Amino acid sequence: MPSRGAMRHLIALLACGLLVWGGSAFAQTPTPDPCDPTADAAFFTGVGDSAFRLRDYSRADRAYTCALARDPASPDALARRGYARSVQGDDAGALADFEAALTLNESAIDVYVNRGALYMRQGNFALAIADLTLALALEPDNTRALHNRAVVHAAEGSFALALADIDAALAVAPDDPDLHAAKGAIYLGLANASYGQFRALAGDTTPFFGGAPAGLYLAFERNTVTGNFGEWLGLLRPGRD
Amino acid sequence: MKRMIMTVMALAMLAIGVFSVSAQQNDEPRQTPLVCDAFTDRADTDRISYYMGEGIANYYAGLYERAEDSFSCIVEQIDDDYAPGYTARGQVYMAQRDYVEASEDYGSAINLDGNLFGAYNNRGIARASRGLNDEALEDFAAAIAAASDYRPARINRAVLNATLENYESAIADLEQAITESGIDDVLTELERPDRPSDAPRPGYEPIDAQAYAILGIVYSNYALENFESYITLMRGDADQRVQSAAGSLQSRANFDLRLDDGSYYLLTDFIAATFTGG
Repeated sequence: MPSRGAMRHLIALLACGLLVWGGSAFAQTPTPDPCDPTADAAFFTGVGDSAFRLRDYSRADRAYTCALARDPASPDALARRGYARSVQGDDAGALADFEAALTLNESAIDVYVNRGALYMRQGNFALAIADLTLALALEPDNTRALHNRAVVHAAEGSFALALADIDAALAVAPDDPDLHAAKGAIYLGLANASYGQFRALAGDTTPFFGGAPAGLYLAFERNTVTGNFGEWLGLLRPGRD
Repeated sequence: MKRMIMTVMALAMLAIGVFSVSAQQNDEPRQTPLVCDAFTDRADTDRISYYMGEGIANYYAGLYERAEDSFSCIVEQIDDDYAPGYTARGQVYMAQRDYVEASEDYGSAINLDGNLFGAYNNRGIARASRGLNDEALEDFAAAIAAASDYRPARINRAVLNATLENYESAIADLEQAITESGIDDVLTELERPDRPSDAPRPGYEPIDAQAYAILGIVYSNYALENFESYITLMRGDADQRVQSAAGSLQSRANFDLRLDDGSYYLLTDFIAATFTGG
C-alpha cells in the first residue's frame, strides 16, 4: 500500500507527465476496462458500493470481483458480492462468497444477514431465521437483521413474531421508512390471515369490505392461496447499503 | 492508488453547455450532515481511493449530489490537500452548473498544484459562464502557460475572444491550434487528389478538428459584421442578395452557431471513464 507521500509523488509525476504530453492526451475516453489494472481494491469497493445502493447488482458484482482480485481478504466485498449474486440467482456463487467471508471473519454480521436473505429467497425459512438470529446475537440492535427476520416470520405466517422484530427495529430506528413499510406489509399479512378466517367462517361468496389497498392485498392473498412466499421477497434488505 | 492517477489522466474532452442556466449558489449549509463512515479502520489512502471510486461511479450514474458527497468526504474529512478530490468535485459542480462552487474547487486544486492546467482551463470555463471574462481569459492563458500545447485551452480562449468580438485574437489562437496539432496536414492528406479511395484514414484527434469548426464560426461572424457595415452604409439600397445572406448568418449566429451559450467550450474531464461502464 503506497504511503501518502508516495501517493502525492505519483500524482506529482502524473501532473508532470501531463505537462509534457503532446497530442496523445487528447485521446477519447479509453475503452472501458471492467477491471482497470491501475485501480486498487478500495477504489473498486467504492464503485461496487455505489452500484449496490442503486441496486445495480450486476455492475456491483463486477466491481466487487475487481476489488477481490486485488484483495481477496475483504469480508465486506465478499458479503456484498454474495448478496448481489444471490439477487441475480447465482446462489452457489453467493454461498461460496459467504463461506469465504465467514472464513475470514466469522463475526461478519452482514454476511449472516445477506445469507439469511438468500435462504429466504430459497424458501428455507429455518436457515434464514438461524442466520438472522446469529446476526442478532452478535449485534442485537441490528435493524437490518431485525427487519429481515420480521419479513421471514411474516412470510411463514408468524405475524406476532414478525411484529415483535419490526417493533424492536423501530425502537432503534424510528425514522427508517423501510421499517414502517415492512410493518405495514406485516399488518396486511395479518389482515389477510384474519380475512382468511373470515372467509373460512363466512364463506367465499360473502362480500368483503370495499377497498384499499387492493393491489397489495391481492398480492398477499395470492401468497396465502398459492403458498408462494415471493410476494415478500421485495421487502428483503441487504445487511448494509 | 494508481486509481487517482487514472482519474487525472482521463482527459476526454466534453462539450458542455454553460451559459444558458445561471449559476446556482451552493454555499448554504448542508441539509444533511456529511457522513463518511466507510473504511474508517483503514489508512487514509484507502479511504481516498474508496471515495474516489464511489464518487466516480455516482457521477457516471448521474447521481451528482451523491458524487459531490463522495468527493467532499475526501477533501473535507480525509485530506484537504488532495487535489484530485477538488478537481473531481469541481467537475460535479460543473455538471450541476454551479459555477461558483466549481470555480472554488478548481481554485483549491490550483493552489495545491499550480501546474494543473486542466484546472485552469475548467475554472476559465466556469468563470466565463459567470461573465467574468477577464478572469476567464487569465485562466485560459495560465493553462496555456502551464502547458503550451494544451489546445483545448487555446480553443476555449478563442471561443471566448470570439464572443467578445476579439476576432483577430480568436483566429490567431485557432490557427496556432491547427498548426500545433498537425490537423492541417491531415486535411491536406485527405484532400489529396490522387489519394486512393480505400486508403486508411490518417489518425487524428477529433478535438483538433474542432478548431476548424470554431474558425468557421468566427469567420461567419466576421462576414456578418462586414455585411452589416455594408447595409448600414447603403441604408435602404443594399443589395438584396447581401441582405438575405446577412439575415441568414444572423439567424445562425443566434442559434446553431451561438458561441456565447458556452456549448462550444471544451472541459477537461478529470473523472476517468474507465471501468464504470464495464
